[in-house]
Amino acid sequence: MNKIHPAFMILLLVVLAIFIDIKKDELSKNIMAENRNVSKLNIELKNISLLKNRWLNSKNKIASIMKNSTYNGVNFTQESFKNKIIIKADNMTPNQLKTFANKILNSYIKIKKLQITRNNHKTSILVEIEL
Amino acid sequence: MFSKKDVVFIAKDNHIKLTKRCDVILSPEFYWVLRKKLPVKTVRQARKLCNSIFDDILPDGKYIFKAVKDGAYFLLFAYDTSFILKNLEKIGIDINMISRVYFAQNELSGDIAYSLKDKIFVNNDGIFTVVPKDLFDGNMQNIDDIKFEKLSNIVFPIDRYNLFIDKKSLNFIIIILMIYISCITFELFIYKNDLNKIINFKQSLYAKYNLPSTSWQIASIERKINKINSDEIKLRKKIYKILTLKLKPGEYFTNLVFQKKSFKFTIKLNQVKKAEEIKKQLERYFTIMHAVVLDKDLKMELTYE
Repeated sequence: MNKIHPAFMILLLVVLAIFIDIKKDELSKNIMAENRNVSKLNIELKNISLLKNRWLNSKNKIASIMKNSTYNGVNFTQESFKNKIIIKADNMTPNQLKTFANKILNSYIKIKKLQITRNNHKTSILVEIEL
Repeated sequence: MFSKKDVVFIAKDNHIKLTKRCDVILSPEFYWVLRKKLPVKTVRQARKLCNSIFDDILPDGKYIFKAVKDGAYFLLFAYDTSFILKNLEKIGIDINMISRVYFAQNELSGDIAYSLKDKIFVNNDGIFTVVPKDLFDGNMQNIDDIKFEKLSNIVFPIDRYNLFIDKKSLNFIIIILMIYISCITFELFIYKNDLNKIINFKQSLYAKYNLPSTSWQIASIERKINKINSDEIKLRKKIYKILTLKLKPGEYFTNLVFQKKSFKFTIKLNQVKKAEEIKKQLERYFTIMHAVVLDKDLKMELTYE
């Protein structure tokens, strides 16, 4: 303290305080910007993840569609392959066909093949689903 | 005469011009000094007593006190910075040319007397005092002949800037500033920590959603998903167009097959001319590859882009 005059010391400290304050301000702005980026990124990644998962689990989805009690008397057969499932439903009434087709078309299931055949008043439907 | 020296002895009313920056030794005329035995051990404690010891002695002024240990005694100094500066200016000394200030008491040897023009500096009971030359007839040495090569380390700080606030207040401001700087530095570290946390959280998001961390990989996934979405939505719209064809009672699909963007179906019609109407309904949305009516059965093959 004998070597440096207090007034000069004050000047140095003020300069140092201003410098730290500027750095702090910059950092604060960076934090705010990063916060905004993270929020935006979170929403983006969430959406992508949702979209990505939307077309998965086709097996479960089709199983839940077939479980419906309105398909009384319908004969379901299912063949599973590595990358696809083939569902065949025989002896469907027009109403049952309408319900089944609607549910398939309103689900996030990748349809590879759809085949509807009417024989007198009974209808059969074949759906090939990509896994 | 002192221009070649780095150390200059300065007495009151002795005009000197300093040509370079140097240390100065002030004669006893510039300060007050007492040599006392005190019931304290440290210089710090002795300094605290200075104010009361000098109380009745000193004329009005703003004094700085300093204590120096001298065997069993303490040398107690009192000096008024503004008085020193005023007198230095009076004898033509540029204050800015002064580097460090020493007092004659600590720099002169106590054995002999020293002379400077018409003044003699004599040691009287351990204290150097000034007497006129006429009143002294003992041995003396001219101060101009002394080379002050080795000075004591007892320096007396002089506030040459004459600020409107005293040193105590300045020190207080320094402490406040240091506390403030400590606070904002601490805050700065907290901010840095927060920023690191945010960056780490950002990285963890990719793992949370099971996605790759590079933007081009995400863009590729997005493109792939969007293509699946648009293809599947388009397919459903096309199926809807076919299944919502305006058919009359008694008209119905006997079969319908969709595979690889191609529809093949057969519709049982009541009248053959209905086939044209159906074709017109569908050609807006599909490319008709094949259409034929056989025994009121309309067989069609359609594709779309």
